[in-house]
Amino acid sequence: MPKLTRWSLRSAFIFLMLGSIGALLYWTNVLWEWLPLLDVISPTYLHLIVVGWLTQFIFGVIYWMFPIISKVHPRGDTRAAWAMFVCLNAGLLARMVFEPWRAFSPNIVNAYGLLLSACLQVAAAVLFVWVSWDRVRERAGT
Amino acid sequence: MPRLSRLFVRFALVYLIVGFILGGLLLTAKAGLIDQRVWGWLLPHADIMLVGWLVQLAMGVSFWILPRMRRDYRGHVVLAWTSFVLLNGGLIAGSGLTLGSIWFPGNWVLIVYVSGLVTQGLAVCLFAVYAWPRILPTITGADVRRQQQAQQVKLQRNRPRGSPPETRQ
Ligand code: HEM
Repeated sequence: MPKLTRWSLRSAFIFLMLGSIGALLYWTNVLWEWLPLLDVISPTYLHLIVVGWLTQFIFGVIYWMFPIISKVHPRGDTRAAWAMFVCLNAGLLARMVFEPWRAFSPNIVNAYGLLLSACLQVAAAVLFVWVSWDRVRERAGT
Repeated sequence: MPRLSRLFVRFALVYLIVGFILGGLLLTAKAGLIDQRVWGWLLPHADIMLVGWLVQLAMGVSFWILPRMRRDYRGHVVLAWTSFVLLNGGLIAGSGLTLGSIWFPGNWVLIVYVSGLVTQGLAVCLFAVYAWPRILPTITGADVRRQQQAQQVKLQRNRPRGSPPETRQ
C-alpha cells in the first residue's frame, strides 16, 4: 500500500470518528434539546462523513488499486497526489471551523474562511481527477 | 478494466468535479460573498455527489471486479449498459436541467428533478438485477487445487484392482 494511501485511510478514519461524534451530538440535541448551540454543526458533520471519510477513503484506494500507468511512473505525478491530500484535508478542516462559527456569529473572517475552504476542496477534486484520469485504463502499463 | 467500467468511472470523476464546484459555490454563498440564488443548486449538488459520484463509481468498479460466471463472460451486459445510459440520462436531465432554475424559476423544476430521480432509481434497480448473479464465491487457485486433489482421490478409489495408478495430466 503506497504511503499516500496509508495517510488517506488514516485521515479518513479520523474524519469518520469526528463526523459520527458530530452526528450523535446533533441528533441527540434534536431529540432532547440539551444544548441549543449544537444546531450549528449541521450539515458540517454530514460532510465530514461523505467527504472526509467516504470520498477520501475512495481516493486512497483508487490511488492504490487502479491499474498502474507504467513500471517507471506507476501512479503518475506523486507531487500532485500529495497536494490533493493536503488541499482536501486543509479544506475540510477549514470548513469544520468556519461553517459552525459563521452559523453562530457571521463575520468577515469566517466568510473568507469559507471561501478558502471551498477553493481548497475544489482544488483537491481537480488534482485527484488529474492524477487518476490516466489510470482508468484497460490494463496496467508496462 | 472493461470499457463499460472505464465509462462509469470517467463519468463519476467528471461528476466529482462538477459536484465539488457546486458545493464550493454553495459554501461561498453561505459566506455571503456571491448571489444567494445559488442556493437553487443545493438539490443538484446533493444528487450529483451521491448518485453521480458515489453510486456511479460503485457500479463501475463492481462491473469490473465482481466474479465472472465464466472466463470473459460477465452475464447480460446489455442490462448494465442500459443502466449506464439511464443513470446518466437521469442525472443530466434531472440535475443538469435543474441548474437552470436560478434563471428560469417555476414549477417545472420540481417535475424535472423528480423525473430525473425516478430514472436514476430505475437505473440502479436494473444494475442490481444485472449484478445479482455475479455475486458468487470467488474461486481461488487453492480451491482449484483442492478440487483436483479430491477428484484424484476419487479416481484412485474407483480404479479396478491391479490397474496402474492415475497419472496427472
Ligand atoms: C461526496 C461528497 C458530498 C456529498 C455526498 C454531499 C452531499 C450533500 C447533501 C446531501 C447536502 C444537503 C444537506 C442538507 O441540506 O442538510 C449538501 C449540502 C451542502 N453541501 Fe455537500 N456534499 C458533498 C460534498 C461537498 C463539498 C466538497 C462541498 C464544498 C466544497 C459541499 C458543500 C455543501 C454546502 C455548502 C451545502 C449546503 C449546506 C447548508 O444547507 O447549509 N458539499 N451536500
